[in-house]
Amino acid sequence: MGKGRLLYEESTVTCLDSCIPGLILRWSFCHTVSEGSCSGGNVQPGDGACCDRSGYYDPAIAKSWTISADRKTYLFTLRDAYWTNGTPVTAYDFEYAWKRALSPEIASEYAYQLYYVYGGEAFNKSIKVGSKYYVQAVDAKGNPLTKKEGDKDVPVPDLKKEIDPSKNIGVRALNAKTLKVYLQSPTVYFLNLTAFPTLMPVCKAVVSKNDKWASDVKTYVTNGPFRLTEWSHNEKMVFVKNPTYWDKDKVKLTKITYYMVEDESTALAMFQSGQLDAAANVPVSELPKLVASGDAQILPYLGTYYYLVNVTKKPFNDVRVRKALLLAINRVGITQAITQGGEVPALAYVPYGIADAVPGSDFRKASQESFYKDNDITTAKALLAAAGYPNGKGFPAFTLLYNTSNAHKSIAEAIQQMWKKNLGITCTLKSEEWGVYMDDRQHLNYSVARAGWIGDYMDPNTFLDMWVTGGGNNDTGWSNKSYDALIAKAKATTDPKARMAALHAAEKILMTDMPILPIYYYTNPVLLSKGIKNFYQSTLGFVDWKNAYMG
Amino acid sequence: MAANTPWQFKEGLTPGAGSFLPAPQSSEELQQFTGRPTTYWSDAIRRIRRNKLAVVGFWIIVALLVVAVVGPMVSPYSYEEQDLENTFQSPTLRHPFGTDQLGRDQLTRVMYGSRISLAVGIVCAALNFLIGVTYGGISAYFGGRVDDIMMRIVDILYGIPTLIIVILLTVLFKDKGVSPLVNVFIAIGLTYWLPMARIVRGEILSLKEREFALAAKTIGAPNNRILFRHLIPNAMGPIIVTVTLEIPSAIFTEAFLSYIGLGVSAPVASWGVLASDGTEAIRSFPYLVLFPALAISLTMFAFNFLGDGLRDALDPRLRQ
Amino acid sequence: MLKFILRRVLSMILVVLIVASATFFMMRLLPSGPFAREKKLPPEIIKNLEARYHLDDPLWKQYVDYMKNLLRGDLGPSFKYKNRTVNNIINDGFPVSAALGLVAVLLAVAIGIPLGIWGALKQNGWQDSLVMFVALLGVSVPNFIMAVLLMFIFALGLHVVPAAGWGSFKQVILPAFTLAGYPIAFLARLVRSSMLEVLRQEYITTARAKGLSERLVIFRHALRNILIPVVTVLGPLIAAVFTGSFVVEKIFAIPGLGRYYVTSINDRDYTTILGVTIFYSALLVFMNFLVDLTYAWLDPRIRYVERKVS
Repeated sequence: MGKGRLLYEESTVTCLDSCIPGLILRWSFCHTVSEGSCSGGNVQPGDGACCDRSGYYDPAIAKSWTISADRKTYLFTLRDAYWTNGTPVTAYDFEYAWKRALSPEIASEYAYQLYYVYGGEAFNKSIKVGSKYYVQAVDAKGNPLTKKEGDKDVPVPDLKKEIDPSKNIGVRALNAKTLKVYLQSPTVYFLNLTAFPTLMPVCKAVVSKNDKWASDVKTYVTNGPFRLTEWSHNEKMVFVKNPTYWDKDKVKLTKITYYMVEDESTALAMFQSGQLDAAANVPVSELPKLVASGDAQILPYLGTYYYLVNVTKKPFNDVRVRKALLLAINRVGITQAITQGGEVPALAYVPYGIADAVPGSDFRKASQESFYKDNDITTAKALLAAAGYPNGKGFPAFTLLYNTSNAHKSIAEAIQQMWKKNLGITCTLKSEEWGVYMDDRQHLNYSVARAGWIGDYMDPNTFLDMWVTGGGNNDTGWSNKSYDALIAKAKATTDPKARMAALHAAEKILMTDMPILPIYYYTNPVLLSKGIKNFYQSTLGFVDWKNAYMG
Repeated sequence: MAANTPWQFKEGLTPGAGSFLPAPQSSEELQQFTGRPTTYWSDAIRRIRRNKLAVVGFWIIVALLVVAVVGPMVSPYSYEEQDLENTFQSPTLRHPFGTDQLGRDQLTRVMYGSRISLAVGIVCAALNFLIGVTYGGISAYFGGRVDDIMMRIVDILYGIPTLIIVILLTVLFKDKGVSPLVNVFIAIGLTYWLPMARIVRGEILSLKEREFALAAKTIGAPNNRILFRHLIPNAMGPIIVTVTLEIPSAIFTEAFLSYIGLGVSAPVASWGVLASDGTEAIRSFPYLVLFPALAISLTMFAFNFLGDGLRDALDPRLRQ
Repeated sequence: MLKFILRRVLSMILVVLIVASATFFMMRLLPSGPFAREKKLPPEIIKNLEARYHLDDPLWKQYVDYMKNLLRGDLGPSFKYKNRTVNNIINDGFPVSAALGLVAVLLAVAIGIPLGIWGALKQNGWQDSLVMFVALLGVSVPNFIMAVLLMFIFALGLHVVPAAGWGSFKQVILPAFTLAGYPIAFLARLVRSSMLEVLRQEYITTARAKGLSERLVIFRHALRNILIPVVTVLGPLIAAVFTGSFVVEKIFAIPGLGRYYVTSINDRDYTTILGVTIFYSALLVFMNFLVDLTYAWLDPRIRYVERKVS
């Protein structure tokens, strides 16, 4: 292994645009969070305004910032930083990049990460006529208007309501070094979001002239600690240290090669034969051995594995039934015997690792660490009997749905047995191809289904706001007015203590009604050669090679 | 001929017998030759019985079927009974094939799995035989435009991605109460006969221009008799090879189908599913993949021995 | 013959168009779409995406537009691999898969056919049993197990080749043998069986009776006649192997075309599904056309043009 050279395994990188050099290196998993956001290249390469390291904000391109008292206006002061083509990174690049990501014709998948910015959502939803953008017209009842054009329904623009991107969006470069951001509502975790790929700047001079800038390594201008020099699709990406990076003295690695390896077992074989120094995934059956030998490390990961329950369907509309199912699961058994990656049995919903109102505190530990006991069969039986199914008698047969994966299958098989043994309930397992599974989930065409959620940012809101009535990811049919009110309150509140109190109260409602059955909190096992020092992967899954070196 | 010349034929047949004879036109005719009542098929069975390897193959298959039916009943474990305290146990007297990732007895699971895999293998072979041979035979025999159209249909079926068809089938069969194995048979039956159809067609195209076929035609034998009694029996070699070799691939296709939700659902696992699940843990627990793979190989060998015997039995030139 | 060729070319084009059309409508029946994510996108963003890729047009219009572009050789942009067109994907992936496939087919032919002949000549001898055993093993060990076994033995155990990856000749060896495993076995069994049959034919007996050397008998007279089933198998095999195998390319991390046949369907990447399907079926009908031409060459009695007399 050459000193300073690093070989890393990654599954398919689909798009250079969202996986821009600096970004991949600092956040290797960006493609899993932002793939596709990039049809003309709208994700910003390299350093964003600041990056987040386990709860505190580490300045990147922005060397300092001020926040107004209402927490809606941010003023970022940028440092002297340069693009790989030698031109300086300016506030104009940020403004351009954000507005580009929001413009409807670019159709960025992750534009919603910028909906926090004032006018962002309206602009992304607007209708383009010629070179101008308009709000969609509404009828007397407030329903959006469409008209038939051929066989196609086309939205009708309201020509009186123009959206001018240069005036109506809350991001503006005051000068080359000052960026002013005005938010739609106070968003306490906004700084955290600036580390997200969609909020990175792009080099305006290059991108505005060449829409396909990201499809060619030569026109691919970035600002991160490493730059991309070679990309063979589905094979490898080669990065070398970027000499124009503002903090280049701290960068020790000279070259990183990413191999696209989809098979975990293959990655392990390549690791063991010296073809790789690190790999992002580890085969479960080998994990205990590899951890013991020090070749694998288990890193924290901000996510929860749970089952969805269709609360609109009998008998699952009865909270006692849902609780009985919840309590009859032996999570310790599952995490120790099956998943084996040091996962923590989930006795609540929001995982560990998110700061509460007081600095240094943890949301999970701050109020109520667990809402129920693991493997509490006595209570489960009592609840089931109370619901009218003593020892499972008369309980209708139902289906437990999961998407094709051996890991999901093993867990489902174990839980099927637990419910059968502990409660006398029989369910059949159903594996479905991913698209079919997503479709069934969305249309509530299931009884109990496997699901999981990985946080987008370091705030409990990323786990909790999805369960509001009609929320896009609330695939349970569950609805609770007080819950909705608490989430709305948390969104509007700037006082950290009151805000966290609202979120705690919301989680408590969720854990009382139990539309979901938490199973475990995810971890993130990686293969890492013992020679690699200072490796950092955030709990959101972003890898940062900036300070890493080969010892 | 010397006994050890390379072209020595099986069971004392002289090379002369290998030269083709037009097959008797009917069993009555044959009866006149042999002097005892025999039909084409009963005669074939008689000759299979004399082929030792074929008999061995036959009894292996019978033994596998018996194990499939009886094995899970007499086993002290059930295929789904888990023991999370004793996962990944190496083979011992208590668990001769070890235990899997959920602590289930692998021997019981392999025995239970043979029910599915043997059914899939046998039904697939039968479908292959019935559809593929008939289709390819008709296509080649009638030739010309018929052949062109029938073979282009085969090309079309080859071309459309099976995965799309299979996913659509899972949607179509959902909650319809169709037996899961029937779904698998339909999915496999849709495409598995294609190579067979092409192979039979290639053979028949050549065979139908041979003298014996032309002769049969000249004396006015009906088309179906020429095709099924004269031409197809002469193509039996490649047919049997294709059928037997497609059995393991059908067994693994079933595993793939069950993976995307078509077929029997977990915790029931066929050999194919056990083998592919076991492959994930092959480094540390190779026995998990070894036993189902051995079972598949054994089935394979048995069907091949039987197939070879069948080939000889059905070959009109080898009739006595 | 010319008439036959002309008719075939026309029917081949028709086949590809039918495959394309059937695939187009069937894939649109699949539940969920190209922009479905585990974390669902807001509806307005899906609307923008659909507008960008014209998925909001009526289906018949999308079909007509696609077919028009297809006739110009434009397979459209990929929905998943943004910034790449399906033409790019095929241009990048096919040479890799084809190179690997070529090695695999050569291996299959160079090993499978001689093995089969050898087995037939030594019928019922130990050589025959060995050939049969190897062949059956090759068939009953599926490629995903074969790949892993080869990797363990030759890369991790003996360290003679790299475990996976693409770029050097050494990296071709394991995947090529994995790909060739089943065809070797199939060809060996097929050749053995056909050879046994041919050896019983009168003309071989005649040739032997004339005192021709065994080698001449085998190669001049017998071989030609066993090739019909062999080319029948080789035609579709070449089409399938040259366009890549999902399993082999995934396990050996090879940047070929094979993975797209499965991943594009799982991703509902409509244009990529159609592009690779059309590419494969065009290659397949062409190979089957070559197979038919080879039949006529191998056995001059085979005629494709309808006979007037019956």
